[in-house]
Amino acid sequence: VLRLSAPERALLANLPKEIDEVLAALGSAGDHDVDDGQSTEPSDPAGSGFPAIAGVPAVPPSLKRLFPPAYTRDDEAERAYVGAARSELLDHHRQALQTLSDTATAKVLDAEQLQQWMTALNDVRLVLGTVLDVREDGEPPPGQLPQQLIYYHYLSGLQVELVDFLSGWLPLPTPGADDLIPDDPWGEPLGGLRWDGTPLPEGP
Amino acid sequence: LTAPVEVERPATEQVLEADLPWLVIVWNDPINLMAYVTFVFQKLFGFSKSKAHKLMLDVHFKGRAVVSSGSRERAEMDVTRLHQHGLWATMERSGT
Repeated sequence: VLRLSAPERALLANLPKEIDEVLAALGSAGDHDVDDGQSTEPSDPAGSGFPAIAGVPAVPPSLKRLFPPAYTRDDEAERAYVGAARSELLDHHRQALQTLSDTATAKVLDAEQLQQWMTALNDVRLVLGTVLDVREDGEPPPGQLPQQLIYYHYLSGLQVELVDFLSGWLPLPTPGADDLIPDDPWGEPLGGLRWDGTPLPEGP
Repeated sequence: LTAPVEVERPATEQVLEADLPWLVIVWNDPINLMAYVTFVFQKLFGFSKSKAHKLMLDVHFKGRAVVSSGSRERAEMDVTRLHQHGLWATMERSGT
């Protein structure tokens, strides 16, 4: 049973809806581009930093965390991956956001809806966190917008509760799964840079 | 009875090349919550809580962790599932 106040529920209905509207534009722009074939120019107008993909609309910077690259050293493979996976990923995010928005006033949720809430809460956090430029070091981002920052931390708290709850419903671990992961092939620590070239935080 | 058969063996290097698995790597980011990352690892890969927690700590403190390996198709599928959960995952051929 979900105990949330009316303003909380209003927030949970509205935030995902706003993001979904942007995603909807992304989806329809994709259809449009494929239809008229005018998306062949490799440009990156949104400044997302990712290679532009013909037939796939550029992702606005605020949403780039919802569509991470799979290949960072092989542009050709990345184009193929985006071409194959983008629409499925888009649908996945949109479905989760719509479920959260539609069931924000529900008193009882089923397991599937709770999973969708968790995904959608994280999606909203990823977008807010990107817009707010949340940093690893905990420094308040420059030029922060207090209201969005409050939303961000509120959603973080709610997500922790949800993850805690859903953890109790995970199936038993798969026998042998722990042993399948090879040792880190690069040794440690990583050479100081993330895949996107930004520096890593200091270790413990 | 079987007669010895001349088998054409590929050069060792070719075998190694073909056998090199793809690695799925999850990278650190400042937004995803530690408890959430642990949960996603358990859910997607069937890890024990302690293994998932250790991998999450690798991501957090070392900057990245390998969470799955296998064929290119398998790796792409795992990357997509991680992307669906908002995690920063990429794939690379091991040893490159």
